[in-house]
Formats: sequence, structure tokens, C-alpha cells
Amino acid sequence: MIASRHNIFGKLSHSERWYLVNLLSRQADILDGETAGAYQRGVWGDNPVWAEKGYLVDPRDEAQRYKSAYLDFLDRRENDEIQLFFVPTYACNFACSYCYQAAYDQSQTYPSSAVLEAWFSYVDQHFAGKRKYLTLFGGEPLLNSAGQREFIEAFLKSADQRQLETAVVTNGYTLVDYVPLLSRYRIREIQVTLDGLAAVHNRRRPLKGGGSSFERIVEGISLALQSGIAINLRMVLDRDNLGELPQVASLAIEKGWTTHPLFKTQLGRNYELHTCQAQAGALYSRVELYEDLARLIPDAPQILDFHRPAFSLSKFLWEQGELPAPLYDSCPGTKTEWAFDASGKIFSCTATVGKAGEELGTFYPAVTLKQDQIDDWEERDVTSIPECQDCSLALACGGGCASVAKNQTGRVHSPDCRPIRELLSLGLDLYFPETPKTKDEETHVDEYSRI
Amino acid sequence: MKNGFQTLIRPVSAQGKPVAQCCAKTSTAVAGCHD
Repeated sequence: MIASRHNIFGKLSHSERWYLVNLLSRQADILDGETAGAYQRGVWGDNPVWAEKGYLVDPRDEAQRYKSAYLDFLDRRENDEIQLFFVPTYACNFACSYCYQAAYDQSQTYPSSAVLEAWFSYVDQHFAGKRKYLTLFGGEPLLNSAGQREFIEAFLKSADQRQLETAVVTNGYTLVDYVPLLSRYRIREIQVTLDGLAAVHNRRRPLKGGGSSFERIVEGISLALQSGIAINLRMVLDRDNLGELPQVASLAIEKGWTTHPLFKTQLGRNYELHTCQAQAGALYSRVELYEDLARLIPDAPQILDFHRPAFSLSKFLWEQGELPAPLYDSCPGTKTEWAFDASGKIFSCTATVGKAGEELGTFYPAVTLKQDQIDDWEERDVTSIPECQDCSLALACGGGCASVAKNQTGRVHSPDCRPIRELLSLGLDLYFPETPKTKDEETHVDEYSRI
Repeated sequence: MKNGFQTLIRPVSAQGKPVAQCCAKTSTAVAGCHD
């Protein structure tokens, strides 16, 4: 028996406690100092728990379980819902300071009916029998011109005829104008971004040519929720606006958004996807962002009413009381996600859509597929990435984003490593404190103490 | 702590469901999965 190659071991960030997590055996424990020391020295003694929990294994048996779990993963993904993005235009009415599409063709046209028909025909044929939903992406898909409104209505009608739901990723400026139209169709959710209260948000996400966007977005969120449309509120964070998070959380609470069943949130990190940013000094690494979040939350606990950061597996463990299934692939591109634009091009995902050289084919004027490149994307997972082979974090990380990895190394089959160990150190300390501070935490500690 | 371990996995009831479930809202990944 030897230590499992999938053990993830580390120290909690602010206490003399340690953690041991294994996604293949689906076990997670906090260890006391003595037990952690024994683990580090490889001294198992006569404690049967190491083997019972799969931290100590017969390597041949573990290799078999790794293969079996991989087949389960492939089965699950085969039946997963597919998200199909459509970009009607790369044009936008905002001039966000960190836009990664600023260099894309922003001419204000909208797709012809021939393009729309060709796209739905492609969806019908290539994703027949699959569970799927559509997502309008941009640029800004909800520009408020007559032509764009006409296109959006035609798109939603075509989706409705197929009983497909549509999500929309919008800057939110025209949401107030669009809610009456959207509320007549099957809308899965609307993703809107607020980067702070008015002053900071408007500085980071101004209208093109200047001007405030904050008040209209806030109004649009409230109206959408009142109209029964789900809102997924995103905040893009860097050092410039992390301090706004408590105020945005308070605003969402005051507005009654956080108690609305159709309201959810996500925190995005501002980072360099394809090109460098002018304010690179303001950007966080993944660890730095979560370190500052962990520091901020105790002083502004309303943040947790607004959003509970994942800290890798920490939130899932806290909420579900179990680990998720092993993650052999965290990149949905060409597997459960595709992206298409109005020029008729096909891309792997939202990271690559519109980027020259990343086209994987066309759906208009004729269907063409670069099958070799598609195969390359489809075959990427932690079993195909050389760097993941001996990495104990692989089943928590899943190899990261293929587009980011390709930008860094030139290879799709290379990793975009996630700082799993550091995030678990921070997150387990936050969600499983030694001394509970809140009623939620007391309840959880009580549940665990009975085990 | 039992034998130096404090499990973070909650016990499963006879019906095979976790004893306690948090009312987590399901999350739809709309963009941003690349980070």
C-alpha cells in the first residue's frame, strides 16, 4: 500500500490544522497536527482510517478505479446539456477599460435572415437529440436599434419553435427596453455586469463617448426580476474595485435582489485573455484575488449573502457535504459548448469566438469543418495533457481552460493550472472555522461533530 | 476529531441522500468558464 497519487494535502491558511482531500475516493478530512505529521513522514502506523478512506491504496486497484471513474465522466458528459452561443455582432455601446474584444470588427450590422436560418438548421442537424440551450453573446447583443430588435425577436421565435431556452449575456444598458420583449419568450437567464457603485462602475464600464450606465442597469435588473426573468449578476474584479464588493452586496440586499429566487451571482476575475491590458498592475492572480476575498469577507459578511466564492472544492463541500465527481476535464469547449458568429464562423467557446485563426469551421454560407482541429479540442482532458499525468491536483483542476493554455504554450493539449491547494487552504479555513462565528457555521459544525 | 481525522463528508441517510442539504441555487455557466 502506498499514498494515493490523488491525495491533495495542505495546511489551512490561518490555523494549525491540515486538510487531506481525495477526489477518486471522494473523501475529505481536516487533520490534527500529529496526524498531518504522520502523513508527511509516510508513517501510517496501525491507523486503519488511511486505507478505509482511500488515502492509502494498492496502486493497481487505484489505476482501475481511475479508469472506471473516467468512463463514468465521459458517460455523464455525453448526456450533459450543451450551451450554444451565438454572437449577432461584436459591436458594443460600452467602452469597458478591460475589453478583450476591443480589436474585433465592431461594425454595427446584424445577421441576415439567411444567416439565422442557416444557424438554426446547423443546430437542428448537428445537435439533434442533445439537451441544449442557446445563449446570445456579443459584443452587445441587445443594442437598441430597430434592426437589432427585429433580429432578437426572430432569434427568440426560432428558439421557441424548437422549445429551446435562451440565455443572454448583456451589459444591461438596454435591459429596461428589452424586458417586455424578452418576457414573452423562454429566457433561461440574463447575465449582467456591475463593477461597483455608480462612480467606480461608470469609470470602468462607461458608454462609448462617455456617460453613466449604472442607474439604467440597476433599473433593468429590478424590472427583469419583477417580470420573472432570472438575473445572473456578474462583477469583474481587480485591485481597482474589490473594495466595492461590500457596497454592491449591500445594494443587492437593499434592492431585495438577494432574496429573489431568480437572482444569482458570479464573481469574475479581470485577467489578460488574448492581449495585454494597460492597467496590468491592477490585475490579480487567481490566488491573490481569493486571498483578498478571504481577508475582506470577515469585515463585510454581507458579501456571503450576495455571493459565496467557491475556493475550489470548499464551497461545494460546505454546501453539499460531499465532494463532486472527479473532474477529468474542466474545459467545455467543443464538448458541451460551441460558439458561432454572424459571419457564419464556428468556434470552440466564448474565449475563442471572434479571434482570427481560432475558427473551427463555418455554418454559412456552407457547412465546413476543420475536423483535425476539432478532434484536437475534443480529445483534450487530463488524460491527454502530458503535464497532468503526474499531478495530484488533476482531478480537481481538470486541466483548466484550453484557450488560455493554447495562448501560453501554443498547444491545446497543455494545462492552464489552477491553484487548487492554495484555494483549499483559504476556503476550508473560511467555511470550516475552528470556532464558528455565524449560525450557519454552528449548524454545520454541529452536523459534522455527530459523525 | 476521530483518530486524528475530522471528516468533511456528511453522513448519508438510509434513503441514500445526504442528511443535510444546503439550499444552493443551481448555477448556469454563462460565460467566464475560462477562468
